[in-house]
Amino acid sequence: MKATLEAINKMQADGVIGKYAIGGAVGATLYLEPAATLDVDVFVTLPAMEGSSLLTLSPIYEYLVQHGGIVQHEHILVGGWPIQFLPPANELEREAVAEAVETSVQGVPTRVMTAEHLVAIALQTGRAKDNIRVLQFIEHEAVSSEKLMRVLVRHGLVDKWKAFERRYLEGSRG
Amino acid sequence: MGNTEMRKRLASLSFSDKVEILEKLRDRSLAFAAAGLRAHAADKTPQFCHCEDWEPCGCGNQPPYHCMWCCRDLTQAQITAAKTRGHYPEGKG
Repeated sequence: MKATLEAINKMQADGVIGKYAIGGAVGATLYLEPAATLDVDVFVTLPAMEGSSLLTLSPIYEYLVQHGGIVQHEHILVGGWPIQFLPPANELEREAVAEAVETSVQGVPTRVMTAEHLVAIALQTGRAKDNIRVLQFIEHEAVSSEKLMRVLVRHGLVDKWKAFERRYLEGSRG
Repeated sequence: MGNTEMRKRLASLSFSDKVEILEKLRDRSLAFAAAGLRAHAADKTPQFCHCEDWEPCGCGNQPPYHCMWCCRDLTQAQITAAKTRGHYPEGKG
């Protein structure tokens, strides 16, 4: 992972990407017990291309291939990890990248989404594995209820949260 | 150690340590995908680990002692070497 993050940081320093934040299972690992995953989700802001409002990941792939990366379907293999680069798809994801926390892995600085943003994104995505992750955050008491509620209110996810509570949490809290 | 306590301990590790665990889990999954499980029911021939970078597995499903990368049984020489590195308490192997 060290080599992977060094490559991403260098790409950022070289201006190919703007701010980035690790999300998904690897991001959740900052707060939870490690759970097997085969790839890393990296949310990236992209510098706007001159004369175009179209966002493209091509510069990332071209840069990393020039630096030894190997393209594998939607991933690019860097430092032994398949990376999926994801431009933020909505305001919640943009905020998650902007407000990510600074941390480090084996001495290499990096940024990971906050626990509250990871939970909000999982709730928004709503697949079975996302629901499991939300439950893990709650079980580990890894989220601040107040902060989470503020994020959910800002991004119109309160109804989804209430439905989640009804389905998975009612009766489980003493 | 209970399941809950073990999960809490894992959650309280540093991010670097957790990432190292992720890497081991990933490598193990890839090894399973490439080579299958360590023992096929129909295959009675003993299959021992041939990994150059073999490591004693830390899972609870032992003995038989096996490699954390390929899940094949360790040879007696590997078990002896593992014991000198502090693995496997006396009387269990």
